[in-house]
Amino acid sequence: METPFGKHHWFGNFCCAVAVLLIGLASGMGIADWISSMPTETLTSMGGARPTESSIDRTAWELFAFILRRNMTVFVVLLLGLVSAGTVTIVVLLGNGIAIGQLIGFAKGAGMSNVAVANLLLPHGVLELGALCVAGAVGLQGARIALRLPTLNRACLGSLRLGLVLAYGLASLSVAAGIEAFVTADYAESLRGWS
Amino acid sequence: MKALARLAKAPLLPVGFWLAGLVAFTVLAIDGLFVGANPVFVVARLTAYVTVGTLAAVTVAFVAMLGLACGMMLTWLGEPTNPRLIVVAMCRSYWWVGSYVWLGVALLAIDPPVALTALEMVEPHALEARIGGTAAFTWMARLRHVALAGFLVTVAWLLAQQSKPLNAILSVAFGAAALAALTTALGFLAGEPTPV
Repeated sequence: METPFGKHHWFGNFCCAVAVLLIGLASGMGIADWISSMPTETLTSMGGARPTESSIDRTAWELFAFILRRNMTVFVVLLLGLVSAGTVTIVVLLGNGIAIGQLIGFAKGAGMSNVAVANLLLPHGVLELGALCVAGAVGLQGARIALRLPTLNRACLGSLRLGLVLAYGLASLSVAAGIEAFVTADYAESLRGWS
Repeated sequence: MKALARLAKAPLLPVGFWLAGLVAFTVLAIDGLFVGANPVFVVARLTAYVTVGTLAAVTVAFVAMLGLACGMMLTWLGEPTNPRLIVVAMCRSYWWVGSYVWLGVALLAIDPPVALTALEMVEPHALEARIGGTAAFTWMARLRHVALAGFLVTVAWLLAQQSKPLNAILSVAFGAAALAALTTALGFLAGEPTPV
């Protein structure tokens, strides 16, 4: 990338996006620990909660479509940081980090081993979170765009290569959704049957 | 009096007014609905705060998209436009959204929501029913179109100060249509797939 927005900053922005996600992840795990340490007497009466029918009766292909649509929405929303000086990107990355951190924290709190958590998250997570961090890196360019607003031109905006980013996001998230729907879901099911 | 008038014209003041109102409304609503140290309520409060934070940021992005679309249309119509004009118009129109949120704060202060119980939390439609049964939320839902219309009319009026009124109206109509298309597309993307 040789133009003003691309040349020197994309890798720095990618690192920033990863850092924000990791901060969210650590916060989420901390929150999960904090919640787990609370008294839980009141929860015993609520043990009858069951997932709804719609969440159980999904075929693998429906699950694939569901995951892909949700992740693409997050991907597109992360790109909205371009028009909000990066605000949306930071908030959404932080929110997603907190959600994943809580998930990991609660799973570990429930006695799941590190290997099982890694098996559940890493195969699709590397591609999925990688794609989201790429979108985050692009979204964080919004801060620079806001500062350069009076001197913006078509060449500057073209250097963002949004078409390429969207194509990469779609490809990467499709593969990740495929792994999550066809591999991770089966693994999660086997863990449930085993416990 | 002049100082007050000058303050009212400050572009960032309405945005601050809206943000302060949003924080007050969020705290009153969330801490009113989910009361207690039960972990279920703690998770619900946390989730709700993160959701509101995300929505606020996305709102800013949508307004920026509206501004971009208005600016593009004005340029296409041959009007002299610059980023500052658009930013000031968008920011000053936030008085409408800010007033709308503060009205919600007043309504919540008059008639606060009844807190959900731990058993209600596991019922699928209990939260919806509680929100529907709280006057503040019902009135906020009714008045949101008024706030949106006021916002768009103010943007058009402020843009018309520097360009032909018809062109300003056309640019806002184009911006609103572009924004509607974007939100519809995002809603379609995020929606549940239809069962095969």
